[in-house]
Amino acid sequence: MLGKLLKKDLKSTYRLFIPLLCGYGVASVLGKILFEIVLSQEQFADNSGFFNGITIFTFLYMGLFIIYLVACYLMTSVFVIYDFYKTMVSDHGYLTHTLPVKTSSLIWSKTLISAFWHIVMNLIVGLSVLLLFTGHLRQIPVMYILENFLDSMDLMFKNYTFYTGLNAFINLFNEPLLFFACIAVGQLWKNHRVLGAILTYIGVHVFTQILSTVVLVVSGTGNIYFNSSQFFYTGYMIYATMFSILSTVVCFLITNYILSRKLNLE
Amino acid sequence: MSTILEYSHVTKQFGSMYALSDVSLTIEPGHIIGLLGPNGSGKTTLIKLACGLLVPSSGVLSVCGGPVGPESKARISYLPDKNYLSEWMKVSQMIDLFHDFYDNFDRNKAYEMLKRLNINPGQKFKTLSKGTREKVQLILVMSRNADLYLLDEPIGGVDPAARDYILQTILTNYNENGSILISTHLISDVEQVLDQIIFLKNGVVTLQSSVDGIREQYGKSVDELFREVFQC
Repeated sequence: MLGKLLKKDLKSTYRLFIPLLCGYGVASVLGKILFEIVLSQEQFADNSGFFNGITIFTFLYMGLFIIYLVACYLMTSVFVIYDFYKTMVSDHGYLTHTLPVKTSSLIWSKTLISAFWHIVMNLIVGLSVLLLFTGHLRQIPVMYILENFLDSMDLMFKNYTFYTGLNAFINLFNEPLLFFACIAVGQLWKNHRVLGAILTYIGVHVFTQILSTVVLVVSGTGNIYFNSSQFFYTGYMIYATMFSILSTVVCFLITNYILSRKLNLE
Repeated sequence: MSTILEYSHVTKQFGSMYALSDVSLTIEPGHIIGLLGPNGSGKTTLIKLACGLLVPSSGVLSVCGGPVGPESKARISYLPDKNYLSEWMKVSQMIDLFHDFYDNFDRNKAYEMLKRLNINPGQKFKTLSKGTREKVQLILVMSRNADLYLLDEPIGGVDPAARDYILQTILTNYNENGSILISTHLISDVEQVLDQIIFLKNGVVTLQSSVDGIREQYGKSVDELFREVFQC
């Protein structure tokens, strides 16, 4: 049944994501064209009014493009939350919760679809950056910049990429499940359930910040005056990884418990 | 054949309010049962509990001998009093979805009913009128060969002509080995199709009887008895 649920959820989300991603693709191509015009201006040392105008426009455009990029990431999360709310706890939930499937399968499907769209979003952003610099990649020593950055931070390349990658992977599941758990907890409120979900999210966020700070201080990992950056980063990432895994499991269990044992579609 | 639906001392509370109080009743196969009561008497709550949309505060509920879960949901066909159709979907996409999830869904039957009503399967729900959406929802529910049909106010918001169509659709399409539980307060419209009734008042079952039994015992129609029992 999970396959059927994935198919259903993909169908209901793609109509939200496709326009967003297509818009981003078009914006990237336009950015590339403007970028090339500005570079050709430098190449031909042309300082005409037309090229100056284009340069200013390109800078403005790139600023807006970055805002659009951030908005795309935000909207990815917003769409995931919207779809979960709409299909699990509002009127559409009357269909969702009468399908002959386990509640855990419903949650898995929503989580995997969220992870899928986040991966697609990251791939498209990666491709757009690649497109922007195509033809100029030799001029940008990526590895040199990265190694220099890591050296200056006293970090080992292997550790940095491993822990950052691992945390990004876990976060694909942790982030949507945290939202789902907050929406589920909001359902326990008699009235103002959306407000309940928002307050739960704020409460969880404050609590996790305090907890992680306490853990880092108590364990001594957070003492940056005595520890090397390598020690601090590795320690921090180990705690972050453990915390993310724990948070993912707890959020899944809370969502599953409430939606299967405390469901109240009024 | 064994009991299809059984409530044993089921209570449902919303905060301090009791929507259902210590309800015990059984539903056997092969019946069309009217769940009758005024607004706020607990009809919808009783149905939602059987569908798993609500969880009882206390008591036990079983469907076809088992607990409410994926197995029971595969055997129950439920028509809510709300519109659960996605605006962006086409009628044909919803039929595909039902066909994907319910083994007992008859796609041909659904298309036949749509054709009879001149509803284009390629139309999106957002382009359909409220009444047509309700009809599509009924078609989806009645195209299943279910053991139990739970129909919550199927004729509540439609005109008298549509009521006749809906009742006719229910009667001509349900699985005769199963049962239908129809919740309504429009008794005169459904009385002729019922063979059993359940009266619900303030969350308590006050009467469960056959329609013939009521006529024999009280010398009245169900509608007349209802007006007497639930007189304001």
